[in-house]
Amino acid sequence: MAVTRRRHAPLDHQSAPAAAPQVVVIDRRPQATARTVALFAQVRRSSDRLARLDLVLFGAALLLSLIGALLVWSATRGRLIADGDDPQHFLVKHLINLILGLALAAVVVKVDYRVLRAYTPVVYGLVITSLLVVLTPVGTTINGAHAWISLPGGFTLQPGEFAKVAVILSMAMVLSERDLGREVPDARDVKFALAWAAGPMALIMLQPDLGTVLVIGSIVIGLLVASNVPARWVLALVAGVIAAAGLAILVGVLDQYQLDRLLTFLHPDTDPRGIGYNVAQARIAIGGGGLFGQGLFHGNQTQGAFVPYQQTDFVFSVAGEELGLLGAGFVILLVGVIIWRGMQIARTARDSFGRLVAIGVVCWFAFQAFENIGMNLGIMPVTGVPLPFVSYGGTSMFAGWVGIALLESVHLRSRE
Amino acid sequence: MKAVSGARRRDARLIVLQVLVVSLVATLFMRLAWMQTANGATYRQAASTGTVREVVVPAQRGLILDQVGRPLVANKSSIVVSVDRDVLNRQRDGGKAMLARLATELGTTADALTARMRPCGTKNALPQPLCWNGPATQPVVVAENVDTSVGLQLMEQTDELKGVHTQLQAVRSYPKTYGASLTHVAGYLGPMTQDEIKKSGHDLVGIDEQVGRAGLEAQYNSVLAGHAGVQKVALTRAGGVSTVLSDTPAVVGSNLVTSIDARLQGVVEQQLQQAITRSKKAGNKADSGSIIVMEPSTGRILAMASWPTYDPQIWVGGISSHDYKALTDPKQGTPLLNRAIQGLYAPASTFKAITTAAAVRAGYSTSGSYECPSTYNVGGQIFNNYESEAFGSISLAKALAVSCDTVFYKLAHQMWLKDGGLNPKGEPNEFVVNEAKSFGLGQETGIDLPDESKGKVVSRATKQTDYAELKDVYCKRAKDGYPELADQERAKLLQSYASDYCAEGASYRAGDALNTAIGQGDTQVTPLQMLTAYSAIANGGSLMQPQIAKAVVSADGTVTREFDPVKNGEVKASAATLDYLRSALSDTVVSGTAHNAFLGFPHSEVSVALKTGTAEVVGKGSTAWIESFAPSQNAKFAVGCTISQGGTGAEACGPSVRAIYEALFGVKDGHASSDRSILSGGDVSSKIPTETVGQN
Repeated sequence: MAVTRRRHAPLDHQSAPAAAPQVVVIDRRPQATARTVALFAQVRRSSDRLARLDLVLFGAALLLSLIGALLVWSATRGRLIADGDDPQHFLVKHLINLILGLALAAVVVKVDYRVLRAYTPVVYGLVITSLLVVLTPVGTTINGAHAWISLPGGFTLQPGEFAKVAVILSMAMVLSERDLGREVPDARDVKFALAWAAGPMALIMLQPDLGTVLVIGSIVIGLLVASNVPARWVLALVAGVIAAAGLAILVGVLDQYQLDRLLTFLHPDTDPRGIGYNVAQARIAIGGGGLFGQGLFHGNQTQGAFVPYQQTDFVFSVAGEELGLLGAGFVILLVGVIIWRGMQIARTARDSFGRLVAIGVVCWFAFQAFENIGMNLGIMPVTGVPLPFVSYGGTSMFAGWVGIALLESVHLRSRE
Repeated sequence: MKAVSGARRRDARLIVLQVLVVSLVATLFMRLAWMQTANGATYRQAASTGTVREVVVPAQRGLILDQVGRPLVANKSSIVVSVDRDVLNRQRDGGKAMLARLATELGTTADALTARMRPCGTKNALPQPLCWNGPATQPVVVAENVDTSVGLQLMEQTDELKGVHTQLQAVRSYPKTYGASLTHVAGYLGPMTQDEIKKSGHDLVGIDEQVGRAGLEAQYNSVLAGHAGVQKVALTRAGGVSTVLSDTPAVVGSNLVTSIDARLQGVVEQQLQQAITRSKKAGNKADSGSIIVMEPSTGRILAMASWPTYDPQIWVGGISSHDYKALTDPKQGTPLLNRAIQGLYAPASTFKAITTAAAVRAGYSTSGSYECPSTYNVGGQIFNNYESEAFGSISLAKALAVSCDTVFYKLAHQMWLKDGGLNPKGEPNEFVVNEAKSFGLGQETGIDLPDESKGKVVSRATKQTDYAELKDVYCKRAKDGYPELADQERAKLLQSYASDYCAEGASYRAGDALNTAIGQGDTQVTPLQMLTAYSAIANGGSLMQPQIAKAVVSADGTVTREFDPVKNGEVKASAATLDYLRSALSDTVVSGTAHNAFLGFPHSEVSVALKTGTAEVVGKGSTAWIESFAPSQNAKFAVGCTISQGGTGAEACGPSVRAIYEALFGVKDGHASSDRSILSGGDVSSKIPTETVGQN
């Protein structure tokens, strides 16, 4: 195959200049033609690549982002009008975040994921550095977590979002190292991989951002399961995590507010004016939506601004109240589509690294979406993770699209 | 082989993950579907309770009008500032910064505002009228009667002062038509207590729901209050109203037409003040008093004033604890009390009319003559003739006019002896006591004002029941003395009283009978009871129920209720006796105790029947009394005046009572004219006004 391709290529290149001397008068034209042809070829190649993209995956993520824009708009419009601000402020920013996210994704797709593998330590190093910066006074505290870096112009960056990407890449790198030799990563590899994950997790726990740690934890476990390590190791790890969590609560590593949130999830009606307020109001909003919803911009709870953090953590409650079972169900369906396509991409990946990257992204999206929607529905504790693509928030949007780009990158270089 | 099994295992692992992930998505969807369909109703219910609030719109209270429709108590708009605690608590600093800002605007401190927001009965809460006793969900009123300019400034700062509501609300105003403030009769408003809120049936009470706490405001609260409206509104979380869901409009309270005449009330209040001033100038303490004007034939009250008084305006916007203390402070004369119905005094000589009636019923002749010496001796005990000198042999009428004590001592002593003295056989007649009771003493008059005092008339029977009750305490004191008192002398005196009472407290002694006959001793009456009794003399024997309300007129001018005169009973005295009394009393102003006070009064045109009284009070100045009515036959008006520690009745009350009659009968330059009367047409209006009129 490779030989044939090489043979053809010089021919193509020779044929175009050969035609040039024939027509002297209009001597620029052949050159132009050659350029045009080259351009066309390039366009065809990129359109080929575009065509070879997983459009269903891309479409689902884009649709989620756009639905997110509407929901963010609806959740913030009333409050902004009441404060005398531009009612489209958050809508516009969400759309700008989407465009930036798409641009970032385009760059990532262009890079072969195997090239990315070589740069993994660089990405990892950047993430660790920024996580350290967050913990310094440069970092900003929002809602009790010291998780943000303020940038000039009112922008903020949340390095924890990119830590997910760093953990996926680094663990996939380690766990796929011996893929050609022995089939299964040995104990040393697993320890090594866990060490890579432990760094960012520890730093994020210090912020503290329990939600992101849980999401990364799900990625870790998903990658271990997918990389064929013995099942007992995985089970031992899960048991260890549970024990550590219990210990953390006993020792008091978790702040009171985090414990309160966990408690609230179990008994939301105990304190409807305090901690349980968010949960109770979100549930009322969703329950009030019914089959068809109260209509966009017409939800009582949403327009009355009863649900705090509704454009970020509780954006799903807007869908529940205003779009009803059909609209909110569609959001869940789109998440399901992304996960399904991600699984397909993992299955058809060219190599073990690609497969693990895809699995990592799938676990990330799946768990994060489950945690976010679950806390809106009152079946998961409130931990403050955004719903990918839908929640308002720049870094979350960028990271989400990087995740999609990684999947597409694996897909483009797949076996089939 | 190995590679194949590895690949298979890899696929198996993927399937495990896929199943896990798909089950997560499925879980979410099922939970969502359950919440929105099967369980949806529950949440929709919760949604409506969370976002819908019932706002009570207070009804404007009805006015209190005088007999021709002039407002005595009206309404005005006031700027009321309230704070929504929900909104406050949601702010990062618990609303501290906002309260500080609000306090600066209102010219008070944040601590003072926080204090007003504490619910009644909680730790550090203010006393009853000042603490918050509304429901927790309602905004708390922190300031009323706010200056318009301040109110406007607050309204402009809705962003900085989130949760602060600045609203216009109707509050009571006192137009003081013709100077009539009617303070004690009108009463005042206060916030509802939690118990009243519970009893009222609706647990949501509008901000600052006020109810009548005293006077007519309390007595006719249900008439005046109207019905509060209820507005169901959908709220935003910030506390703003997004939509009004339902609106039951408030029903304005009805107006209460009273028999009070504003012009007369103004004169009466002024004359009471003058009586006090005059009495004080003469060296008396004059610590309290009242003047009442009544229509004898109906019992309607035309004017009623009590002193010390206060500005009713201090109740508007919540009374300050300092003001409330002053109103209830005995050192300042407890201005809150309405002396006309709550003050208890010995009736003194005004009681002699009743003693006379009793004596006539006991068989003493109105045409006989009676000795009026300067003292009267009962078993060695000397009883002085307090008010008059010795007159020799005089008629009963003369004895009344000159108020000769010794005539009545003798009558009382003889009647007491006839009843068996200390050891009565069978049922004693007790002419004086029974006569007094038939004149309404010792029982409530039934006036339409709350918290009226009953007073007391002491008989043989009440002495015995009192003794049975008090015997143990006094006998113990007689034995043990008063060791807790520092003042040895006082302790000794009290101990001797106690041993006297222990020994013979149950017996109705001659001294008791004598003291009762001249209105001293244990008899206690309210000024209103005494005037009601004199009205009965004036009207031929009907004991009328004093009444202030005349009619209820709804806001649209319909008379919905009329209050007819109520007769509580007949006095025991015969028509002839009453006629005798009327003519006897009409001599007082001509040749009796009030002769000086009525010098130059046109007696031939207006004959005033009058009795003065000067009650001796142990250790205190004497109580000055005048009970009177005019004309002495077919009386149109009765005027009673009482000044505690005021000196003699003639001097303290005389000029004031005369001035009131002059106003009523239009007396000028020695002549009476109904055209000049303070009452239009010279009489009480027979019509019920259906609209309010201003001062003209």
